[in-house]
Amino acid sequence: MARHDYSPHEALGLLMQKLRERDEDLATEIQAAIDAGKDVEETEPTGRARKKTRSYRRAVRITDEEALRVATNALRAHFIEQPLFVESAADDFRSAAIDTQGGHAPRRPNGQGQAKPATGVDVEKILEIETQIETQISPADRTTLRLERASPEALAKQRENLDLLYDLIDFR
Amino acid sequence: MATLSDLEDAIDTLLAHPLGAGSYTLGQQKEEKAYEAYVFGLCLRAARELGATPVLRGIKGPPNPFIFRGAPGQIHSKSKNYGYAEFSLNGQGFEIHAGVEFKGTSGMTHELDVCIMRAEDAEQCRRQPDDPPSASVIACWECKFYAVTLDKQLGRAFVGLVDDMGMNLRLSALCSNSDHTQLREYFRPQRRPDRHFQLTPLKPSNETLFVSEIMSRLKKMTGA
Repeated sequence: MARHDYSPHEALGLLMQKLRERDEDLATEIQAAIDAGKDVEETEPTGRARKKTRSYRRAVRITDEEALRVATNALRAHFIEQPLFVESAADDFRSAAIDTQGGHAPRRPNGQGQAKPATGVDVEKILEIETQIETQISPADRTTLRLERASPEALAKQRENLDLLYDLIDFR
Repeated sequence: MATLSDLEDAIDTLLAHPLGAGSYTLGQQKEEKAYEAYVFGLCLRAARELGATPVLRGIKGPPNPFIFRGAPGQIHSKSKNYGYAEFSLNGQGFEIHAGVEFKGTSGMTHELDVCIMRAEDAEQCRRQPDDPPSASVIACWECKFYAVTLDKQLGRAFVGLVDDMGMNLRLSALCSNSDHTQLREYFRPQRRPDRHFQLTPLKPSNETLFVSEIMSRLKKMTGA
């Protein structure tokens, strides 16, 4: 029995329309990935005996169902993976010590350079990405951008939202 | 039975969420930097799991905040208080850097997204401003965040870069949250760099593999 009253083609049309309304750049990125198609391996018989075969690569259009999968995977990368990268980095940096006094620790001849005691382990660190790069003449809106953890509740809810979408576009 | 209206509601909810369209983005370039920060963090994890305590430092003083370069830059640049990490294993000092340019064996400079290098070479290049030589690099990673399939030319470019980094390099790999069937094959020959595709918190086993590989090379190098 059919699980949907819409076709993959209708679902793709609706998703792309909604994306274009919300974020033109994101829609363009996803459309380009869909339009790139995919490689398939074709096999054909060679010679009269037709026992031997040769295979070759051929680029083909993807189906509407595959296009839906490409689109939702891209949304997962932006909406779920990106916050997880920040989360993971924040955790790993939290476990590192921090130089609180400045300057470079004098390195001992045997290479063990940490002359100052390590502090700041298990303390949240502030991570920022430079936005105004050092050679840039035109002023940016801000010089750096902070990588901030998403709230666990928000992330969990968005994962739920994406899982629901995956379910609604599953035509198997 | 699911209706088109159910689908519309689901799409609207997803896109309107605070982590949805419009608010998710750090901008394409910044999303890539967030991915570099993630891979940098995995290097810290490897050092820590080997028993070292990595120390975060800044070129101008305490790294508060810890700043990742927004574009390739020089290790000695004090334009901002760029961050790096230092750790030692069995008496050997190492540093982890992101977005730093190195001098290849040809003399051409290359940006390494994330790398582990010898600490004394890094220190030398900060004291007497210069680009670090490729021989100072122990491990390097090209980090590519892609929401869609990876671009083939990234693989070709990275192979060319690694070729110019000389023989001291113990570990090199193209890392990405994404994947590419042909690139998997391209990186298969032993003389080519490794690849860590689908390196993402969504695949913890791939993270473990990545961290273990760093640990194993550092262990072998230092006897730690």
